[in-house]
Amino acid sequence: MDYTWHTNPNRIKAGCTDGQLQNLRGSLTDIKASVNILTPSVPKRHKITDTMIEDFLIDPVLGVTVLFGEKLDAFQGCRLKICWWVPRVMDSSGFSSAKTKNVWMVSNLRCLLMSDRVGLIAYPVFEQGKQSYWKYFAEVAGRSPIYRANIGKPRVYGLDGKSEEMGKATLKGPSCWTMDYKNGSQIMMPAVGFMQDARTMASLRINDLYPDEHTKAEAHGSTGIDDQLVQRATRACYNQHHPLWRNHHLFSATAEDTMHPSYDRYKSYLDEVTKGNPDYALISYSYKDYSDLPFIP
Amino acid sequence: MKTFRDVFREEGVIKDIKKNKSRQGFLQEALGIWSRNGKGWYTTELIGKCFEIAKLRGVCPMTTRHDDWEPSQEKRKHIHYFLGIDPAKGDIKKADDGALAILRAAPAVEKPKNSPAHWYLDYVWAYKVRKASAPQWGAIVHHKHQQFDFSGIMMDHGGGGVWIKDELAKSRQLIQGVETKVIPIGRMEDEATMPVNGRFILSMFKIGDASITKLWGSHRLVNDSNVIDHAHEEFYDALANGIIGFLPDRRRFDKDFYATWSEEKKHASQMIVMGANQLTRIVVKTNDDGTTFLNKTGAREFSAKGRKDFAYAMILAFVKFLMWVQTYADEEEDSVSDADIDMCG
Repeated sequence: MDYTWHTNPNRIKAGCTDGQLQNLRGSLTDIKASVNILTPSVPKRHKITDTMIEDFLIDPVLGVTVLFGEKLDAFQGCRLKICWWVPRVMDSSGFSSAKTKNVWMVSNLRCLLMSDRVGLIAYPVFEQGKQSYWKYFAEVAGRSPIYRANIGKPRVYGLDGKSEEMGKATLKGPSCWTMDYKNGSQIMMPAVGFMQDARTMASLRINDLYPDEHTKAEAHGSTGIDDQLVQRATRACYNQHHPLWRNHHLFSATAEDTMHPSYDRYKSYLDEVTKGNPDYALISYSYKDYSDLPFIP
Repeated sequence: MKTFRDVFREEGVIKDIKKNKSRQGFLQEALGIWSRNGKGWYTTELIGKCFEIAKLRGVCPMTTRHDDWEPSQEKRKHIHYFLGIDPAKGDIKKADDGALAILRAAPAVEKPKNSPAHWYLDYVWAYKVRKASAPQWGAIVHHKHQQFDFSGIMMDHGGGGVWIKDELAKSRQLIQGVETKVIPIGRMEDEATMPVNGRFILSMFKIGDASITKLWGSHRLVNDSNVIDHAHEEFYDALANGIIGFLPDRRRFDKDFYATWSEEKKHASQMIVMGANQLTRIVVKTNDDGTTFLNKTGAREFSAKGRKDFAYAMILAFVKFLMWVQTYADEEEDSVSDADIDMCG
């Protein structure tokens, strides 16, 4: 059983003598030591309220603007909404249309607004992910206090009474980088090992799968995406039949020719879209879609 | 006030890409449209037919010549094996895989002549070699030669093939950890410089090789692209005429029978299926209007999306068979009958 405690020292101090305060702190520690207690560490002014969650779930573009301070062009907003609401999406947009940024926004927004969500980012080469995906964490955290306040490990007191909240938000292990969120969600970017057909990913369970530049991995003949990664996205979610809450796949890479190994996946998506299946979507934006809307940095 | 178009649309880069990329490349990378810039050379139907043919012939995986499913010892004497090698260097950090494939040629008629149509051709063994040095490659090939007694070997000269050729010419090989004396394997051109007891059954898949010149000498051979073009043309014809069979996937066999297979046989079955899949991904370059592209030497250009090591090993084994079958009838006619040998006493 979990209890939530607001341990604002000023609030506790009000109306108490120093002795009483000492006793109160002592008893609080005892209680925490006996059960697992999740203590929110997000300042109230930076808390993502229930109303905000409700609004942002319905309008992710608004969520991205408020939480990440992002300015999106019209087509980027449209793409974000498709990726948000449709469970199986393949984004084949042309260069410079911010595909990777879109993957970052979708994955982070989902983790911020939905608690206990695990997303997996897969790059053909680990180093590529570090350079092209992970840089956005620092960029957005630098300009958005509300985002900064909501990332990090939740403050959990274990049975041994020791605080475990000291862990950093980002854990950069040698073979996997992870980002934790205060609501218990997590984004992980492992070195997938496509040359070994991603066999190292066996036994992992995730909610959302984001293979970026997937065509490059498949061009080398790797079957890791189908053999391992897709099967990993089977973690329990709030509602597996709802387009918003269920587990999502978002494949992202520029288009290739029709003899490419990835074309089979594109074709199967195209067939579903042609049939009218609302669970599938294909996206192809390009530099031509940039509008004349004012850009205010 | 600046707009999104002003900030994010790089006109200079777009112009560069338009200039440097083909129309299809621009469609794919700039506009995000999946388009066709090549056409498949070996169709899935064609490859599927080869699996059916092999199934009808009762093709099984083989690890030695003794595994042959032909019961008659007399008929077995007329069965020949050819090895195709697509080598890969093992000593570099990002070493590629090398591939070996064996083609079995059995007479389809009572007295076969020098026509490929007189033979049943089946791929019966394939093997993936990872991170092997040139001496290790030499040992693997010699070991397989001891088991199959090849009538011909063809190797791609790239990927360290030049060094492997020199290793094959050595009379001592470290086979399965034991230094073994073997009969050196060499090319026809090496006959003058090699020991007398050498087997001159090796050919290198490149322009200038004596056997390549002998096979396609009447064609215009300017560079290796012409050789590759001819190889694909001949292989396609053979597939289309139904003379080649691919060992089917293990799931097509009876479960009890499959359970008796050694690991090497199971691996061989998987690799041949992989090679067949690789064949379906080989494309021939096309012009913007869909016609086949020809380079300056008049050759078609082939490429593969993904790996093509096993596909090429299979094609090389077939090309070696073509070289061998070209002179088959001559050799048979030149041979001395047993009665004549007795007279020579």
